[in-house]
Amino acid sequence: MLAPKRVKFRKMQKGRMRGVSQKGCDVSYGDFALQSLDACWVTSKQIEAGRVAISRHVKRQGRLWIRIFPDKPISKKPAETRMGKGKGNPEEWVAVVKRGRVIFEIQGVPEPMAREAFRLASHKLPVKTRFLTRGAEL
Amino acid sequence: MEFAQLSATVRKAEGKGAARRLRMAGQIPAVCYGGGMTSTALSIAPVELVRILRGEYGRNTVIKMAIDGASELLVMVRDYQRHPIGRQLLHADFIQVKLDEEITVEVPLVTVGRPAGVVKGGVLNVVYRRLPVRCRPDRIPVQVSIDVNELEMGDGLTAAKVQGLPEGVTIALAQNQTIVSVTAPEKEPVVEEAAAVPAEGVPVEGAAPGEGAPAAGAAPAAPGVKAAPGAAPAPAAEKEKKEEKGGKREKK
Repeated sequence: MLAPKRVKFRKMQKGRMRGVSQKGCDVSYGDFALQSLDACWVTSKQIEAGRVAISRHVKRQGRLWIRIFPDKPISKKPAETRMGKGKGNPEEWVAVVKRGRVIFEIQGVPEPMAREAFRLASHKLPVKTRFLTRGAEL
Repeated sequence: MEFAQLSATVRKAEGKGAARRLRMAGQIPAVCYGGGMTSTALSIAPVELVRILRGEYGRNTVIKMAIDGASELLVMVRDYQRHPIGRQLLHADFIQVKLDEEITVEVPLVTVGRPAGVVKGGVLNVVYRRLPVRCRPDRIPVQVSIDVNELEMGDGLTAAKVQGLPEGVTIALAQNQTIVSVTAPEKEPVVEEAAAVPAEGVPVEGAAPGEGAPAAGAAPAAPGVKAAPGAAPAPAAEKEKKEEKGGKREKK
């Protein structure tokens, strides 16, 4: 699963996900893309599940790009613990995905196959998604 | 090459609020510069610009722009902004061009055929989807087609080998620059993951959460193995004991 190799600080504040994504909103590398229409934290497990779903459907043809990276540590307190006593331990890594962000891109497969692969991957993600095609942005 | 027509009006109001009011009124803010002219703020109809961008030449269309119905400039679209979700145009940049001066534009690159290497399981890697070419504005080609049928696995096509360019059009790249190549398919990432696991277990700050900590003291604290008398207790076991004590105190 995706995770940073090392970070400067182990824990991070929660933050907010207002507005739309200003970068990474277009098809930049492949022919087809999966774009997020919601703002959400996408965990490294969800990204991996989506990647596996895509690569199984396309049978390892073509090339896949993952356009998001889970670089935000999420801490959780253990079960049945009283409040206080400091922030919990880092438990997982998430990518902050805002509306409009492209999550996956694929190249080298026909469009119906890419559509189906992204449909399967979208079921693994916590956001509504949309299929994008290169050259049909306007 | 036929020139497209676009009408624009000079925009006096500037800033975020004025731009939003303009968009509400069915126009979008634009700017025109280059070719010795001073930068001019304009407003245009997005419908007209979308029609031009969807045309045969797309972004490379040379436009005759009538500003306030009077002066006519020869311009090209330099850049445009879209809403990431709604996809409607938000802003456009135009640059003035002259028919006797060469410019660098990016022309779509189309690959013809299926490479022999792809038939054998390789992946066609298109390095430049839009090929930078240098030519006069009225000689911009619609697209550049290259035949890739004979590319084997590991082969590439450099800029020097591109043929069939129209007269007066040159590729604005180094001669040995690879444009397309056929590469072997990527290996299964599962293998990479297996190799990466020990690295993640290293207890450095920022290692994968929940994985780094137990790895550090896992061996000494193996269950069922008693420590030799007088030997120092395993650091992980010690930690656990402390935590237990702490937990009891909390309950009190």
